Amino acid sequence: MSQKIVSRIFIKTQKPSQLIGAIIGCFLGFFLIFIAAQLFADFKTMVNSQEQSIGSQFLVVNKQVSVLNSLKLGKSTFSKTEVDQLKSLPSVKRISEFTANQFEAVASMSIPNGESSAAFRTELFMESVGDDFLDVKPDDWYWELGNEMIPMILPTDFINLYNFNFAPGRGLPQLSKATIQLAVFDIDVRGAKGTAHFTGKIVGFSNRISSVLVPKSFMNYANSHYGNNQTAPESYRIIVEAKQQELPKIQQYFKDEGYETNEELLKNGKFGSLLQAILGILAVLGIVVMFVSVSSFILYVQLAISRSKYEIETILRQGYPHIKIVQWYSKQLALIFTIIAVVNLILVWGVKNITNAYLENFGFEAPAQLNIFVIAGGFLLIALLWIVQTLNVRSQIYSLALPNKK
Amino acid sequence: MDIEFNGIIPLPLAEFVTENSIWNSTFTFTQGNKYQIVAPSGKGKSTLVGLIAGTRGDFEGNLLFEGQNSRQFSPIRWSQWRANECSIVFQDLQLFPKLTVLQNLMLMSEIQQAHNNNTSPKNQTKETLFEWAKQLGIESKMDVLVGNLSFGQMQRVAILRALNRPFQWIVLDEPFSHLDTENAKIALDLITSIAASQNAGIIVTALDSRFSIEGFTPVNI
Repeated sequence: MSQKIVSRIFIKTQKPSQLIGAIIGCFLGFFLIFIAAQLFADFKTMVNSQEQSIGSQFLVVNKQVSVLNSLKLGKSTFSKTEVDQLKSLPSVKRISEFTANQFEAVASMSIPNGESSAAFRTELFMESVGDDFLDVKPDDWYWELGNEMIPMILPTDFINLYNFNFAPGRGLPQLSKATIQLAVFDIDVRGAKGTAHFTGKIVGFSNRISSVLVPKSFMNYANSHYGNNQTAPESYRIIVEAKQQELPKIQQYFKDEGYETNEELLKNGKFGSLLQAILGILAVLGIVVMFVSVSSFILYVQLAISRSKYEIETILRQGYPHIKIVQWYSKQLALIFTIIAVVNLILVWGVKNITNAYLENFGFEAPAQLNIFVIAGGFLLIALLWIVQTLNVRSQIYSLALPNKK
Repeated sequence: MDIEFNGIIPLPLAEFVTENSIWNSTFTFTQGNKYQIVAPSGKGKSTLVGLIAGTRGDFEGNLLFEGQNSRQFSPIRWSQWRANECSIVFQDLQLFPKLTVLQNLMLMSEIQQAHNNNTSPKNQTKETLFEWAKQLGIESKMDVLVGNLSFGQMQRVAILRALNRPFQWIVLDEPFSHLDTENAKIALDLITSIAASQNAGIIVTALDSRFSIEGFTPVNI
């Protein structure tokens, strides 16, 4: 019998249709917020995995190679003036010039294979660029004078080419990134001023830069000790960090100057801006809808209490403690909000799985799990709403529990 | 617990307060005694009940319960007052029309439990309630929704509900207005005997002196 009659008094005065309406409204508001936050988190993870920090875009720029270049009549390097001009563009955050090797470098490796041994041998062309412009930062990415081991970063495309193109065609085993990073090979350096022997090791893979990269410290040292040129070399390629919003401007500039850039990345950047904008709109819409639905839910609760005003006043006048009435409403609200939160999370998870599958078609890999901050944030938001609602109920019941002064 | 009126003037009655009245003077209701408030309508009988019940706060002066000022009562203190110390029958009865007679009566057990953390409610047993209902002639209505009863029947339900709790005072606002003399007498006897058994005081209001009750001290307002 306990609490049964009291509950019945409050429940009987409610209109289920209004309650369901209020719940659906509240649910939709939260759903929009949840899904926008989750998709935004996914998007950010995907973009970060491609190491394009939000708000900027890294572009590798070079001059178009024409017949003149082939005939050695035109220059395909960037002069100091051109570099300075690029630096001064308002849409450019910062730049770094690539330094290429001015010495011969040969990589070789012998693979023990039973009695015989297979070997590979290749000439290397290497570049270095400012560490701040790399999309990967491996721990062993440093070189100082006296180190025999040269860390290297390869383009991801390189291993993809090998694994999906070269290896299957030749019946060779595919190699994981981890396997490749285990290999140590010999590097022989030879230039006008002498020769030297080093070992090389792949320490990471870059999506941003299509080049074999070595630390700048090594490149500077080797160029000055073994290089064939006396003067500091001019760069063939430059990496530019541009402001995301100003991409069209800089694109136009490159076109006017006859520079080439990695167009595909630019497309990604545009796609990213668009997606970001859409998610932004969705989030704003979600906030508006949530604001409206939360206010309507607050109004619903006020309405529910004023609908039960006679019952509440009457039961208070029989000596029922007002705090128990607040607790009763608070418990019902907690139940409703918990259901809203849990169902929302399940639904967001479902929708996310669908979009994940869709994104996979385009080669994007979104995280499989819900973002922990989205879950925590969602529950926090709902807990906050519950507290606000309970305080709202409390103040209304409290005013009914004291003698009426009017 | 004595109830002391100390210079009380209800704000709506401020212009009409005359001498020789409970208003704007000092008057003490002593526990264990029986009082009948007699006055024509509009003189503040229900206001007096509302002050004691703690439903009205629109007055000047001080209302003291055993020396304690009612203005300092918290909502919890008021709920204890209403549940355990002072039982009220309001003129408009304040029953729950969508509950049955029995549910209206048993609600008091839940209220007691809410105060005593679910232990040993100090209410009457169901059997006693049925016995009292039988005396008042509404035994057959126990499972009927209160909304379907006549006003006279509802008055008896409200009286039973008021009796179904421990109290030091029972205050009844026009409790017999829709009862015939015989039923009113039965109800009054039941109230007096139960009040006496708890050494509780009784305050009854009545519209006019047609209903002067034997053994009750008349109080003019």
